Amino acid sequence: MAENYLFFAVAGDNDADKDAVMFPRSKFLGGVSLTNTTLELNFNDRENAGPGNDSINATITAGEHKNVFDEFASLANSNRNNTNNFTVIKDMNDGLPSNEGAVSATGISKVSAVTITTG
Amino acid sequence: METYLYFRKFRPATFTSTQGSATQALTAVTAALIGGAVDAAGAKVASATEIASLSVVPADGANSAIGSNYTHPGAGVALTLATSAIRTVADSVITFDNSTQDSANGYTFEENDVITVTFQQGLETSVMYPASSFLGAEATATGSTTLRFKSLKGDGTDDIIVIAHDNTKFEDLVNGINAAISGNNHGGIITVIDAGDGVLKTTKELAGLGIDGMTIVLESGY
Repeated sequence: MAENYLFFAVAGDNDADKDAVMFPRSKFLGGVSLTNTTLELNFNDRENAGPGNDSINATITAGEHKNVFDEFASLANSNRNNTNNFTVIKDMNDGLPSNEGAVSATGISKVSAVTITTG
Repeated sequence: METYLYFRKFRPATFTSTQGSATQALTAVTAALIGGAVDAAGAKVASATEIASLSVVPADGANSAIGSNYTHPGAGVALTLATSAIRTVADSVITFDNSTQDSANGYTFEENDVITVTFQQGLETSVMYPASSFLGAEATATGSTTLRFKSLKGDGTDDIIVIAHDNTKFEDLVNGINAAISGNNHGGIITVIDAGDGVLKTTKELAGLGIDGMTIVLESGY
């Protein structure tokens, strides 16, 4: 099966460090709850320089950790052969182009903010 | 297609502490309710993020040592307390500010006051791993099986989930883990063990194995 590429972006121009990031799904390590309204998704450190792995801190609807994990899993498993397999997990930008496939998608609706941390 | 495994710690929906004396420390949440010793890493209640709300039912009709944000409700009537006045949460014991420590939201408990704590998802109460992060399982003690996963944080050691179950059930348990990983989950996640809100949910293969505890120890705390 072709690799799936998972995209995250904060709101804005996405032209500065940690504004947007894309990970291969195979680099996903798991997720963990942090508070009742936040969780963290972890990926292998892209730079392999440490310290620690890369992570996405997501603000979510209260208590919806399981459902967010479930929706993430569905999106992460959505890769198909002979497609570009670009999957928006969460893009906080408004005014995305319409009818542009994955590029138009804003991702998981129960996520209301993301913060990108890279090692 | 990757399989994802979901685990949630043993937590009651609510917990009640009846103050045996005038102390700000609630009684410890019992081992049976949290699926492990009250001071066990990965099982103990250790973060205020897990506390959704607290309320007190006063034993007496009056208590002058309460924060300015409260009005005493009278004996036997519940009063909601501010979670911001939680002083500490350690080894499954919640300690609340008295009215001197927090003159606005503190509340000085009296003997026989009844405090009810409602739990929610909080720091490291649930985790999800892709099956590809699973490193193996081992019988580490009688009635105890350890699952190892690649570290979420990547600081050098594995993440560990220890499951307490009936004696002699190791083979059944790892067979259940294998079934979860190898089964067709149609693109979603598998709830391996979810013991939140006082209700134990497992895969059907893990049902009947006497699972009554679980610790989740990430290799690096937050």
